[in-house]
Amino acid sequence: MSAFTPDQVLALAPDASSAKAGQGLAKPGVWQRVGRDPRSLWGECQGSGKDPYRTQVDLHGPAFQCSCPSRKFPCKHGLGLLLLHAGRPDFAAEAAAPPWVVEWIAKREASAEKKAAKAEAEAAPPDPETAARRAEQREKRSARREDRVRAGLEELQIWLDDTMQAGLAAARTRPSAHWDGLAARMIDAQAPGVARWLREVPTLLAGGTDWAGRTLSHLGRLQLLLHAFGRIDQLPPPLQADVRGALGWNPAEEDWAAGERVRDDWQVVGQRVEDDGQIRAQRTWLLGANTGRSALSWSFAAGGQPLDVSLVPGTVFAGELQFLPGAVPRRARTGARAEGKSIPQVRGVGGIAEALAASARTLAENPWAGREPWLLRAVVPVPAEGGGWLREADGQGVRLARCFAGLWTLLAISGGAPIEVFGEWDGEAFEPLGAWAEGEYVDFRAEGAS
Amino acid sequence: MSTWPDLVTAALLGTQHAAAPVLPAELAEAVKADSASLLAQAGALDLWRQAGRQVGSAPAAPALAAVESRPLLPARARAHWPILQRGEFPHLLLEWLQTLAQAGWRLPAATLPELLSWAGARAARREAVLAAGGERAHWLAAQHPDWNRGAAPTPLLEPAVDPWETGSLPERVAHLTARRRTEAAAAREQLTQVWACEPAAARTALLEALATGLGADDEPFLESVLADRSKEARRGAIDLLARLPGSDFVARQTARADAALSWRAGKIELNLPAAPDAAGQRDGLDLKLPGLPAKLGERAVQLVLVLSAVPPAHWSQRFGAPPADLVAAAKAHEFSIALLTGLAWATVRHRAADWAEALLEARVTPSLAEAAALPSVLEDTALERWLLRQLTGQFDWNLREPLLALPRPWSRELVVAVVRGLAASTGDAYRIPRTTFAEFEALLVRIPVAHVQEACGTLDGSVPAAAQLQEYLTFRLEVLGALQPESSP
Repeated sequence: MSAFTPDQVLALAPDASSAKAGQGLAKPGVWQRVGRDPRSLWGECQGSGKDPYRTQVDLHGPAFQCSCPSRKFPCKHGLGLLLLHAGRPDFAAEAAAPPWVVEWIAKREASAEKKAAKAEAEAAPPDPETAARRAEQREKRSARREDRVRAGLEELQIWLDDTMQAGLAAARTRPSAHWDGLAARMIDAQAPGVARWLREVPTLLAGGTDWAGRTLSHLGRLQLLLHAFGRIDQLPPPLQADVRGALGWNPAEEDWAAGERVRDDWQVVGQRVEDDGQIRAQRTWLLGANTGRSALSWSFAAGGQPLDVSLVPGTVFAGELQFLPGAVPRRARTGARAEGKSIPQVRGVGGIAEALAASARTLAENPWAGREPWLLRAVVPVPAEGGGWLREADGQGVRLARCFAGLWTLLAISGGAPIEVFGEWDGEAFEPLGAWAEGEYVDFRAEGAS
Repeated sequence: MSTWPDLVTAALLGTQHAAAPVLPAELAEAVKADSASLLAQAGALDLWRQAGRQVGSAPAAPALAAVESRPLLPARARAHWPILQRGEFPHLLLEWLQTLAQAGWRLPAATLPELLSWAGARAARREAVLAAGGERAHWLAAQHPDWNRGAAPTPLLEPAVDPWETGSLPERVAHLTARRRTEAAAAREQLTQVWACEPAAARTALLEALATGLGADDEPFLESVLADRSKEARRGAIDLLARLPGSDFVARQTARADAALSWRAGKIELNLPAAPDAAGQRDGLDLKLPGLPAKLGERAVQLVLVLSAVPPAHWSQRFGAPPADLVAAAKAHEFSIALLTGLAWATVRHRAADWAEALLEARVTPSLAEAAALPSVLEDTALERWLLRQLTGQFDWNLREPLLALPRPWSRELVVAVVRGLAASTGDAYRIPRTTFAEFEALLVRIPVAHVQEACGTLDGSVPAAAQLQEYLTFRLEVLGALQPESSP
């Protein structure tokens, strides 16, 4: 059995047209000299050129490589080949990999080793002299940045005070360019996290019912961040890291190195991509089957650059995650890992009340933690006026986000019976990203995107 | 707790106009409310509120779907869904669903919302989705207003409202048509009762429902409609009366036709009818026929209208000549267009297979749509024979409907002729455009699976259009093959 379902493969597509083109190539007729070994899958596909394209997939990943000139990644050939393999695992027979595959896999392994070695070297304590010099440089850099951020935030504080003095009703009449300009100033001040925060304001101001309440809670949370930065020296170090993270500090290699490494069977439970027109941000939620820990892995891509496709929702892999330090360590990146397998039965589920309590605890530790990952056990989707609900056996439930487009799919897979649902809680409503029914994972990312 | 709404009001108005409300004591101390700004207080209170959020009370859950009796579609067949899902091959999708249900498989539940939306109100699609989707499909469709249309009432439904009283016009027509099938007289009575108070468009549309279960009993009512205010309603009544061979209307038209046509020495002699009198106008002889060539005069149009109601068998009998001779004579006549159109229309109305064959044999192609449906009158073997003769060289679009009317399975000979014709449709250098291919697809799914290999073999794969057909047919074979139970592992 293939590790991937066709849905999971399609979820790797960089855009809808690639997904379509990939589907079109998922036919045996278009492929020649197809083969696989435990690590890789390969085949040749006749394109418009003279020579057929050589397409290969590293199944420990998955990662793709193709000799076609497409700038998309993965390209339609890679998607098509993996899609074909997902649908008909017996199509690609076990064979010895041809030289061009062996070479690529070897290159990938070498680069992975190099990366591991580099991380090791940076994590390992260097000789005291170098260590001291590095620490000094780091501190200098950090102090310079803190000064710039502080100056930017002081300006923002004045601005916020003015806004509140005039009232939100007045703020609503201003053009959104006003907030964008302010956001640009925060970028200059090296506080991109604050810039992101500000860019959401025009949308909130233009929102429907309770726009004022939503805007106030958004700006209120920002105000808490400004306060926290104002007295950052008095905060415990993990929370300092959270505050810096929320302001938009990119973690340095030393920060990662200071974090915890956790081995587990990591279940990839959900993924979503947000596109602000310039940068695509993908967040992938992982849940440790044994530790019960949740982790968030980010991948960013500018322009047509590919996002990381190695974490496939609905799969589980044994391996190590490295957590960034924080009050509630959550942001993580993958270390050494084995090939992913489908999750037959997701582990680590809980009830809605438990999830709420856990979210309250997270909020108490880190008010800027963002959306909360909930893996809900035995909930029944219920269609209702203005959206839907997930209902527990005792009649308690959580409202689904209005923007969630997959209600009917959720209902279809449940058939009125309780199912497991993973999603994000935004403090008001729950947005499913994936669900399990009859032992299969259904990805709701596509539903949200289209 | 009303502090938050107060805080929102204060924020709306601005701190220059409104004072911040007093925070709950526990919180006030934590944020040092006296000195904190409104925004800081809001941040703290909002955090507090959010951390204290309680579980809500959900609406009642839907009833459980019944347990499925059929196995889930195997992975090899599920792999085709992403391709079929694109909607490029709607006919293949329909065939896939039908075959899937026949083979005893069941669709994955996650595909159902999309498929039910795709089916909409189209009966064949809907039936196929429900059959392939198992219990879950019925269960799901019953809960969505858009997917529930046309469904048999189930306990999950609201009590059905009367479509006749409150439905839209198409719903009322559907209701009346359905009733005509089981109790024709009662259905007619239902229409008669409301006839006077319906607007013209409704009268015309509802009258068409009487075509179902049409019989001699309908004649009195239809006769009365001949005097209707609406020209369209009259046209409808005439069309129905003309299909009743024993009706007074047909007898009246036959009498007029007999006065106009006679047969002498293998030739048709024509005495064009005079301008219609009051009775003739009542029988619709003043109606216009926009589908006819403009050069036809009023009297010729009148001839078409008269002839169109007379069963063609009448002429064979009266003139003592076989249809072929009569058609040849009409073709040689000065008024051939009017004569042939009238005869062809009558052939279609009275479903005279021997006449249809004679007319098609003589390559009569009437421009009036009502009269052009000649192939639909042919018996199956005659139709296939005729089609095989027509299917030479490039594909003629007019053959599509007759081909679709031909019962399955198609013969090997016909399959080869069709694919060759389709492959030749774009010329050698071009692929078949997407919209055209969608039209072809209805024909391609008629090809029996057993003949697909052979059909592909007769095509020259170096021609783009032929390669495209081969690709589609091979894909179809693969898609249907994956559904076969014997290939299960």
